[in-house]
Amino acid sequence: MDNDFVQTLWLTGKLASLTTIILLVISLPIAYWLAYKHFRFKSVITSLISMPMVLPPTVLGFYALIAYSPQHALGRFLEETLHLRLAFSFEGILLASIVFSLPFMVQPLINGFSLIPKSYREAAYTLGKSPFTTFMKVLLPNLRESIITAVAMTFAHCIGEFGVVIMVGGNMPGETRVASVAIYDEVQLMNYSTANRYSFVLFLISLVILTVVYGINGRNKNHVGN
Amino acid sequence: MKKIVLTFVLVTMYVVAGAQTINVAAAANLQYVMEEIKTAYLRSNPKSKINIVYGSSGTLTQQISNGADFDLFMSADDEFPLALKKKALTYGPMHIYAYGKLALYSTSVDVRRKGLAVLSEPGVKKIAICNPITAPYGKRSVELMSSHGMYGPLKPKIVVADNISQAAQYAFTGNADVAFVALSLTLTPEMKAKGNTYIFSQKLYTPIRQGCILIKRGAVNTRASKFMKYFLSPATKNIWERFGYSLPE
Repeated sequence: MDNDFVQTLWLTGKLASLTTIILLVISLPIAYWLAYKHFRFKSVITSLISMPMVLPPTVLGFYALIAYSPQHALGRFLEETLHLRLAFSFEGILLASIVFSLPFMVQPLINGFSLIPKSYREAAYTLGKSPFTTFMKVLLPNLRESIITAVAMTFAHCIGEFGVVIMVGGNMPGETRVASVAIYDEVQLMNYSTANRYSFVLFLISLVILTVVYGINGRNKNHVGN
Repeated sequence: MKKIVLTFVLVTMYVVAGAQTINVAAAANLQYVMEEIKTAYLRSNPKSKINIVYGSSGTLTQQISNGADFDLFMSADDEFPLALKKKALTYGPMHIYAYGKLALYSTSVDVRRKGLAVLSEPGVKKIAICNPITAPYGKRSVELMSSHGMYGPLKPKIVVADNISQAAQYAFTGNADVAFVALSLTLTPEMKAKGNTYIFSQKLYTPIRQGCILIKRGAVNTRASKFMKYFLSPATKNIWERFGYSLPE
């Protein structure tokens, strides 16, 4: 029982951490691009990225099941070349979770990029710095709060993921049985005390994360006020 | 004021009319057969309204224990209804309405000849069953594998679905190579066209005695007991058998 509890929480943390790390790496360039570049169909791209915020998780779960199936192109390719079947595997829920949490990472970063005064970048360019150096030395340090917000929101959102995981996960202990699914299961089995233990841990983690986020945002506002 | 009174009257009428509907909680293996029985019933009782919610028997039992608004519970076994009876949440006795049959279904390998043996083949990477604790068909699937000494070795391949329809759907989409399903779910034109089925001998597992029972609510829903009498009657025998169920003597 206790082993299950630790294993499930560990798996939940692993899924959330990996999703967050991978998303941070891919979202920084995406957010930079969307914040500073102007191009056709920009609103379409921004909408596509934000879709998971409004779509029911079941929509993504459904499409993931179809895409992962060895009877379709992507699933067949993965099965034949990499011997990987995404449905009911950790990799499968990780991929779904990355897609599903994308807006929670990208949105705060876009906001952060747009809040940095244009003059900072222009000054760096005038001093002969490349866009990359400017990004690393000028933009990133000024993006600290937004990054913390984005990371915290993404992590918290991942921990709360349920719909997608229950559709493509297959409830395998140590592989796809994350805490939210375990809670659902334990309630079905009327093990209310176990469900309560999981729920309380998730409650605490989410509370701490959100407090950190709002704390940082509040401090920022004070800075501006001063 | 008039408007308020009118609204109140309309709402009351709606609520009263709502009380005429029959809310049925049915095990997921029933999802095709019950739609047919419902249609047949409505033909002779056109004023009735029947809402059927499908799920695993355990999930439905848990919902009923927590006060879900059902008039009738159709389980996939005879234990969940009795558990509700013990909690004094039911009316009258439990009736066995059908015996279910366990089958293997696949859209990627041929299960028709080999039966259980197919599960050990290397080409079979994922086997879907439904939750053995909340779904009686899942319990029988585990029992069947265990009695052949296969459950332990096969465990790494096993994927647990929330209910039997989900297990069938995992195999239908090809995400699982084989699924343990209720025979009734494999008999629709879509399922037949896309995959193949192996029916286990009923001697191999504890009989799946599917029981139903009336659920206690504010007032006795006579329509629910009428509907129950209907699907227990010989009038529906053909439909049950067409969907692969056998009937109690």
